[in-house]
Amino acid sequence: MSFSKKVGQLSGDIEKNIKMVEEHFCHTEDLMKKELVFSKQKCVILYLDPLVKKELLQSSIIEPLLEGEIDVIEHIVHAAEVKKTTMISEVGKQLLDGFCVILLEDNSQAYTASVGGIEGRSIEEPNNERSIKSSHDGFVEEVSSNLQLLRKRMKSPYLKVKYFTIGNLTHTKVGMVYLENLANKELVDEVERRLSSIEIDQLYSTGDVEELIEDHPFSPFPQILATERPDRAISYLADGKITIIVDGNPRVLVVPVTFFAFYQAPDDYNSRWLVGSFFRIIRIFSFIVAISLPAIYIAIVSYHSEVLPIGILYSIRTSLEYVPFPPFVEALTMQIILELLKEASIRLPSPIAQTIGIVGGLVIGTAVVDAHIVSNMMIVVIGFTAIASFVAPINEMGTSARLLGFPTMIAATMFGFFGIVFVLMLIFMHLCKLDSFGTPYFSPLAPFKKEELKDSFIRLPLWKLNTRPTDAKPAYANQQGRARAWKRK
Amino acid sequence: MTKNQITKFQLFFLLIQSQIGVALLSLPHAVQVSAKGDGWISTIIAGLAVQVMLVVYWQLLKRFPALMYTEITKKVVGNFLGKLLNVFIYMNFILVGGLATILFIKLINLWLLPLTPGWMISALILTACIYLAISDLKIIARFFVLATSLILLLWFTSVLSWFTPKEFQYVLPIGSSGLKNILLGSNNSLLAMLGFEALLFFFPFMIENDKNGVIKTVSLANLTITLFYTYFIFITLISFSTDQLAQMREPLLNLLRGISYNMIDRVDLIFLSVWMVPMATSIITYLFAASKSLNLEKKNYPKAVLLNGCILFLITLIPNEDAIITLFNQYVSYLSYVVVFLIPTLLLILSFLMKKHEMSESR
Repeated sequence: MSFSKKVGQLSGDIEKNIKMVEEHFCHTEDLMKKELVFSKQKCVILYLDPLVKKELLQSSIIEPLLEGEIDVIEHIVHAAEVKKTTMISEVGKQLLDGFCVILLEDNSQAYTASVGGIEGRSIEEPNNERSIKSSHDGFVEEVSSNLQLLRKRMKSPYLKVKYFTIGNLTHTKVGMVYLENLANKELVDEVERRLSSIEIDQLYSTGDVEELIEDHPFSPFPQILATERPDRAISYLADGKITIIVDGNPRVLVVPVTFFAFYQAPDDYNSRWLVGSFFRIIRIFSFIVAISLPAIYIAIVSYHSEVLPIGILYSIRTSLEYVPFPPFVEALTMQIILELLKEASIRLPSPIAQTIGIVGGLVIGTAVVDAHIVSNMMIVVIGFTAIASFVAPINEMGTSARLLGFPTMIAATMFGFFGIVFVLMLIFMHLCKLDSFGTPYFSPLAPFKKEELKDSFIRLPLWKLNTRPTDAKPAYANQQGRARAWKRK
Repeated sequence: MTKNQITKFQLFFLLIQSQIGVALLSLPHAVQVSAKGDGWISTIIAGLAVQVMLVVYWQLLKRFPALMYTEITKKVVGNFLGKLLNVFIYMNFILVGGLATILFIKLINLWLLPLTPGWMISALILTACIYLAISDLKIIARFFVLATSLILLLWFTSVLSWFTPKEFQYVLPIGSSGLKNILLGSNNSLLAMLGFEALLFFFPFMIENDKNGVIKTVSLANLTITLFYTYFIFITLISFSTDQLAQMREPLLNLLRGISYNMIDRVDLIFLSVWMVPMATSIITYLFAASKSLNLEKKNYPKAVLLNGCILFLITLIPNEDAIITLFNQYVSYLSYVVVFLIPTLLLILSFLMKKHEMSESR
C-alpha cells in the first residue's frame, strides 16, 4: 500500500464534512471535536490534540467565536494565520501542522487557524563542536528557532528561505537558506533541483538529506558539511554558500564545501591570526599523520629498517623482540581496541565512560605491552594517530581519515614504501577528482588558487581578506573596503 | 562551470610533470658515457633543441588551434596518409609509456622491493595511472599542479647533498670532451626531456584567452626543466668521478645515499619513494596522449584508457633483462625522433606550402 494523497472536496453538509475529516485521519482518537454555536449556526472545531496549545485554542478561537457577532470568521478569530480551503487534503495538511479547523453549517469552506505550539529544547552549546572563544549557542530541533539564530546574526533582507516538504509519510519541512544576489544562481537552481527531486517515504535526519543529494556517494570523504554552530553557518552564508535546515534535527548542512573547510574552526578567527594559522597547519598535519603514520611505521620495521640510524633502530627492535605477531596484526589489534573503547564510552553516562577510559587506557594499554602482545612502539604510534584523527573540528572528517589509515596500513604491509605512496597517490587523485555541487573539493590546492590560500590553509589578518572565498562562485567577490581605514591619513 | 579546460598556469605544470620522470635518476650516467665531465653542457644544448621544437609546435598549433596532433595530420596530408601517421604516433606513445613503466618497475625492484615480482608492481602503478588518466584533462592538470610541490621537496632534498665532499676538478677543463661527444650526450638528455610533445594534445583544451601566450609558458617550462636537469647533472658530476659514474645506474640516488642524519639514514629511499609520483605522472601523460591519439568520441575515451592501460601492462611483462631493455630503448628512441621532431616539422612545412589552416577550412 502506498501513502498517496487522498482527494476530495468539502460539501455544504457539515455532518458529512466532519465525517470526511475523520475518515481522512482513519478515525484516530486524538482528533478532537468541539461543537459550538456561532451566530445561531452550528459550528465545529476540529484539531489534533497533541499538536495544539490548549490555552491558545481557548483564548483565541473558542472565546471569540462564542462572543462573536459578525459573520466573517477571519475577523473574529485571534490567530496569527487564518486560511480558507475546500480541499480535504489541504485541511489534513493544516491539521498536521498544528492548525485547528473550523467547519460551519451550510458552508463548504473550512477555516483553519494556527494554534500550534510544540515545546522545544532550549538553545545550548553543541556537544561535538565546542569552542573556547566563539559564541556558545547551537542549533536546536525546530526550523523556526534555527532560522531565528541565523536571522539574529544577519539582519539582511536578502537572507532568503525556501521551504520544501520531503517524505510522503513524514512530510518533513526542509528549509534552504541563502543570500539572494550573492549566492550563485546556478548553484541555487542545482540545490533546488536535487532537493525537489527526492522521492522518499520517511526522512528524519540531515544525514538522510546529505546522502540523497551528495555528488559521490561512494567516496570516503564527506562532501557536505554538517554543523550545529550558527556562527559557522552564517559565515558560510556570507561566502555565498547555501545552508539546508531539516526540521527535527540540530545539524545544518552547508553546500558546496571544500576539503579544507573541515579543518577550520570558528575559534581561528577569534585568536590572533598567527595563532589561528598555526592551528590550521597543525590540523592539516593531523590529517597526514592519521592516514599515514601507522603505515610508515609498519613499512619501516618490516621492509626498510635501513632508513633509521642504528640508535633508533636498536630501541625499536628491542621493543619488538618478544612480540610474536607481525606489525600489521599489532596495529590492527590496537586500532580495533581503540575503536571499541570509543564506541563503548560514547553513549554511556560520563561516570561510567570514565571507568571504561581507565580500564581501556591504563589497564589494557599497559597489560598488552607487559604480555608482549603489542610492542611499546606500536602503542606510541597508534596513540599518536588516534589523537591526530580526533583533531579535525568536524568529526566526520576525522573518522574518514582514521578509516583511510587501514588501506595504507595494508599496502605498507604488502609493499612497504611503494605501497604507501601508491595508496596516498590514489587518495590524492581521488581528492582532485571530487567535486561538491560543481566546486572542486580540494580547492585551493587543486586547482591551485593563490588568492584563496590566505583563508584556507592559513588565516591572514582580517583586513587582508578583502575578497571572499570564490569556491561557491559568489556573484561578487568584494567583502570589505578599507577595514583599517584609520591607519591611513 | 564544468568545462574541460586548462589555464596557462596549469599547462606549465602539465609539461613539467610530463617531462620529469624516471630518466632523471639515471641521466648523469647516460650523459657521461659520451660527454664525460661536460655532461651539463649537453643538457643545455638539448634544452635549446627542445626550444626550437617548441617554436615549431607553436607555429603549427597557431594554424590549427582547436585540433590535436592526430587531427592535424589528417587535415594536412589527407585522411589516408594521416591515419598512417597516426598509427606511428599512437605506437610511439604506447611504447614510450611502456618503456617508462618498465624502467619504473626496474628501479623499484632494484632499490625498494627486490623480491616482489615485476608484474605486481606494474599492476599497481598502472592502476593508479589509469585511475587518473581516465578523468578529464582539467582533473589531471589539478593533480599535476599538486604533485609539483613534491618536486620542490625533492629539490630541497638535493640541497642536503651540498654538504658532501665536492671536487670541481671533475668538470674541468670545460669543453675537454670535444663538441662531438657533447652533442652525443645531448642526444641522451634529449630522450630524458621527452614529454613536451604532449603539448600537441594539451593545446586544444586551453582557455581561449590563454592560447596566445602559450609560447611564453612553454618556453618558461622548458627553461625550468633545462635548469633543473643541468643542476642535477652538475651536482652529480662534481660529486663523482667519471669512473665512478660509469659504474652507477642511478648516480643521483647514490649521491643521496651518502647523507645521513641522527633521525634518518638512507635519504635516498625516502627520495625514491616520493619520486614515484613524478614518474607516475609521466606515464599518465603518455597514457593520455596514446588514448587521445586514437581520435575517439568523448564517451569512448575511458574505454580507450583502460585498453591502453592493459596494453602497457602487457608490454611490461616482457623480460626485463638489461640487454632487451637497451634494445627496446634504442628502437623507441628512433620512433620518438620521427614522431616528436620529424612529423611536426614536415606538417608545418606542408601546411605552410599548401596554405592550409583551420580558418580556411571552416568556411
